[in-house]
Amino acid sequence: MSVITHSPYHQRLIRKLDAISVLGAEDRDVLATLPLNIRSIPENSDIVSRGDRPSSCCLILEGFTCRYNILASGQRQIFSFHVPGDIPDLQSLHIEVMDHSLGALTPCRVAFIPHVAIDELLHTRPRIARAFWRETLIDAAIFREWLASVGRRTAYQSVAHLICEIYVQLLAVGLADGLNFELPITQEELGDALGLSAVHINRVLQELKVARVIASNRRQIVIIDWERLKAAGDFDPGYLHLRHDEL
Amino acid sequence: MKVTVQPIKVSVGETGDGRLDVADGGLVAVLVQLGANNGVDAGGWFVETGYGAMSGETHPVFSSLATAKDWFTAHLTQ
Repeated sequence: MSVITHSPYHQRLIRKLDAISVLGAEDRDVLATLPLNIRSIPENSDIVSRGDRPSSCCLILEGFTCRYNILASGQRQIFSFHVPGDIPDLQSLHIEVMDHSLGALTPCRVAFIPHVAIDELLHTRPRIARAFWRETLIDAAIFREWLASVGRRTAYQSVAHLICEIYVQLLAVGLADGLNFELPITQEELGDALGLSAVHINRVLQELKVARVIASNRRQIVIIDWERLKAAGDFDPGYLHLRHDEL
Repeated sequence: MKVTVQPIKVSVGETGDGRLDVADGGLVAVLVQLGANNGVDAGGWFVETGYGAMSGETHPVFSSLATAKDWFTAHLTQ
């Protein structure tokens, strides 16, 4: 029986890894001993920047973050959104120089985990090593879906798909309340992710609301008709490779 | 560079009020006036699509057609 108390911060990570991989009680206890350097990050600031050589990985505890690059034209391309429980720069463990930036879209609380501590776990706990590897493979699967959205889906489909994806990710780590969840991402940021203008994003959101697929009040989204939202977004959660059927 | 605008209806679920933006006789952009739903930019003129030198550009939402014409003239004569 476990005798180690899992702090709420460690619990974020454990819950995330539990959602995608099989861990034993001992693995969870070992994860709960990871050293965490907790920091608050103001909104719209970088947590890690392109060109940095980090010596720790960043576990998101609270808030929304994104990975992005600024192109020569000054335009921003957002590659992914991240929710609490994610370690968006896990790759920095093996790829020394950041080839993109990780930014806080909202005020965030994050925990920096030293690379040496993660490396130690990878060498001593095979199931944790497998969970981290699986996490990065799922990260790649999400990129493939985004490529399809940016390249081939219509604005309506890609916005609906993204809403589905974020909802399921939040649900998997216990951060959605039934069909309600917080989406503190601006229309401009959604546009930078999907290669669309904020005007197009606004239009699609209005269409989804008029069709009574979703409702929204400021940052709160309510899914009125999950089946229609999934159909609108051409969304199949299989690529998220969650262990439990979340829906 | 002479930039003119011509009225046209555009089916994009906004006000439907649009303009063809023509420079020296060639179509360079379709502008659409944003509806009340569009928050801060309501009533503004949005570049729905651009052609030639205006394709793939990032454009501001213009507060008036006169501003849009000035911007296009400056941009196309660069």
